[in-house]
Amino acid sequence: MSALVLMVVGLGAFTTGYLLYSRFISEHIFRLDSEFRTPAHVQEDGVDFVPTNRWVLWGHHFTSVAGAAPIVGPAIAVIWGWLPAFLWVTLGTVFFAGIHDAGALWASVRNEGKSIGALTESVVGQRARSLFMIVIFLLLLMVNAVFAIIIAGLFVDFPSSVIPAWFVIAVAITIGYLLYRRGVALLWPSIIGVTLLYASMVVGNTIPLSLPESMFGLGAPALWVVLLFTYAAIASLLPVWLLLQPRDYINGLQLFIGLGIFFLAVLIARPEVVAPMINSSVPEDVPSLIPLLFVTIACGACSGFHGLVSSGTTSKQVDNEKDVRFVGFLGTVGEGALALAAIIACTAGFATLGDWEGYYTAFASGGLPAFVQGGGGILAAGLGLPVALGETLLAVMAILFAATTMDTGVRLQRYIVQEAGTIYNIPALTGKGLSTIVAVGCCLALAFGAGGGGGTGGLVIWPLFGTTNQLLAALTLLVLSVFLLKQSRPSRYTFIPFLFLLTMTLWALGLQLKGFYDNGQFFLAALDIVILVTAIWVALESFSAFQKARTGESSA
Amino acid sequence: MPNTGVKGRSSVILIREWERQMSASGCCGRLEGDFLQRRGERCFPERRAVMEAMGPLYRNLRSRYGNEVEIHVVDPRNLFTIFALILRDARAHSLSIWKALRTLFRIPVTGVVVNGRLLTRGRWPEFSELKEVLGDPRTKREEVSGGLA
Repeated sequence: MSALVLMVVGLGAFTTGYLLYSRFISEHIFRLDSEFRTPAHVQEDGVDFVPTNRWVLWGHHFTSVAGAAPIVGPAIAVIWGWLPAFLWVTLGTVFFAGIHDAGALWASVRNEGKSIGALTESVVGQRARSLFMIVIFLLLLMVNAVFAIIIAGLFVDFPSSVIPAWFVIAVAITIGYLLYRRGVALLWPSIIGVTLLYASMVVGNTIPLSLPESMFGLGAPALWVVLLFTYAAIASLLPVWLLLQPRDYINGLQLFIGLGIFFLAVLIARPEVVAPMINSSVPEDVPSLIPLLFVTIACGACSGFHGLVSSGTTSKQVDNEKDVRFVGFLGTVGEGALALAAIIACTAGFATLGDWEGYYTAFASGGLPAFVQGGGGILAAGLGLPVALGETLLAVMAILFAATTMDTGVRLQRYIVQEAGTIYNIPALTGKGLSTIVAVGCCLALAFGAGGGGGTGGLVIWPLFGTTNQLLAALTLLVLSVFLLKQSRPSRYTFIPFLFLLTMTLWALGLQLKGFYDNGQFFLAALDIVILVTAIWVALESFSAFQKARTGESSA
Repeated sequence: MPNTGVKGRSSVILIREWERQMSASGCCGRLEGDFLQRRGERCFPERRAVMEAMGPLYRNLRSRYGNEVEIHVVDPRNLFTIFALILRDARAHSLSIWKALRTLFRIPVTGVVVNGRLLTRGRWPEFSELKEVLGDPRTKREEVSGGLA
């Protein structure tokens, strides 16, 4: 079967979902009202609250949520065959992510632009707000560890990516200086910077760099993890204009270029999908498809982080409430399309089924290498790009996105540690230095706890990360359901996805806990228990909230 | 992109970065809203300062011109939207493609574009500078309507 079929059917599903389901939800459930005065108008101040044209707003929202994050999940999940991943990405985007993202946006617009965290407290209760913060902290902890492991794995498997991935730091710093200190026009440094980055990929191909197989008792992957966290620690202490902000411009251009040429290559090459529709010979260590599929693919199907973006900044710019449908639903379609690209790369970029099976020999082992090499094969077939260069391009794209996330993530974690220092009166933690060390130390402990001293197999925490992300999405859907119930509107369209995600989360956590315990991975087992307790707490809060809402409804 | 509606309606694009991460690193690790400040410290302090400095200019524009002038506040990382807006405005105000391209290649991280032309870069203009360029929108509309009649 041609991969073009997957692309057309997938994009068709997204289009149909937007035209039909989002319209139904917008008209009958959210009842979007063009006469409603949005916070952007009521509190218009030209700073945070600015009525913004929906196309402009969609551009802001899409650039914030879309990226390479939905690559990892689908790349891992196709081990069960392409069909389950494809179905979850398409149906999840339409029936879960769409209503989640647009719902968070709408609820925030209806509540003075409050963030989902604040809404959790006002709609569900103070305990739910605390729960929300715990989930956020866990997510930050895991995202840094997971992305460090991902990048380390790519450095080891694709040594040609090392030079460009580190060279970009110098490029970003130069761009930052030119843009923010010398006032140079935006486009030239960005274009030149991206050009230099691509040129460095050619250099990287010529001079691949690898670390020694073992040093100081650590394997190469583990050494890379340490180096990456050292980088993230330093980067998080630098002013954002110097490194983090310039990376925005490089990454943004890179995303559009990378995706553009990838989809073009698929259209030209029309590669054949060689992976099985349902894999009947999964390796022994692969967990059961259900429930693990639904927590392995979070971003690209339904991601809790989107609710933070929708209700954090986007809601303050909505000009007309009717725009919620356009911005909220179409934003999710963008990420779904990226996940679709990942599925195609991981299932159609190989010559034979045997080649594909060579990558998927264990759970979470073959995902990203399969994406890079499969994608590189498609770029070669479609555009004539040398295979090695295409692989480097895709590997570097994923690395740069992940590294930028690490920079932000460590920075935010430091803030949380500093805040804890203030709250609990621990002066040493309020300074930048020690708080950064604590933040990075926690992430390192998790990264090594997952993969051991060799730093291998660390992606086993990916499903835990996905589970926590889904828990955040479930919380948002709970808030939406209670909000709808209090307004005497049908809540089943948010409640059913909430129930589904919560069920899959609890089930997956239980299964994984048994696996971690049986394998002697007690560190991960402990983390699993923490998340499991949080998930059970979510379940209890939901029942309590619903009871109160129903009682209130009955009284009315 | 929306039509400018009334022919000859002026368009002001205020370019400045929003206090948020738009790095295309995806949603993972992306915290917004309440999380943009911790312990009274903004995560993106320089961006915040630029946003607050633009506030008075925006409010003056709204107060003076209301809906007579189309105002867009666009993040420069939203490059394709900026391109589309500038090209649309250039066409609406009869600017040549070369002048439009000139504007595109000169857009700054912080600046103002009026009717497809770059007015200021690296600073917010005084409101008087904007009024000089925009003129009285009601007069402009009457002139256009008179021309069509």
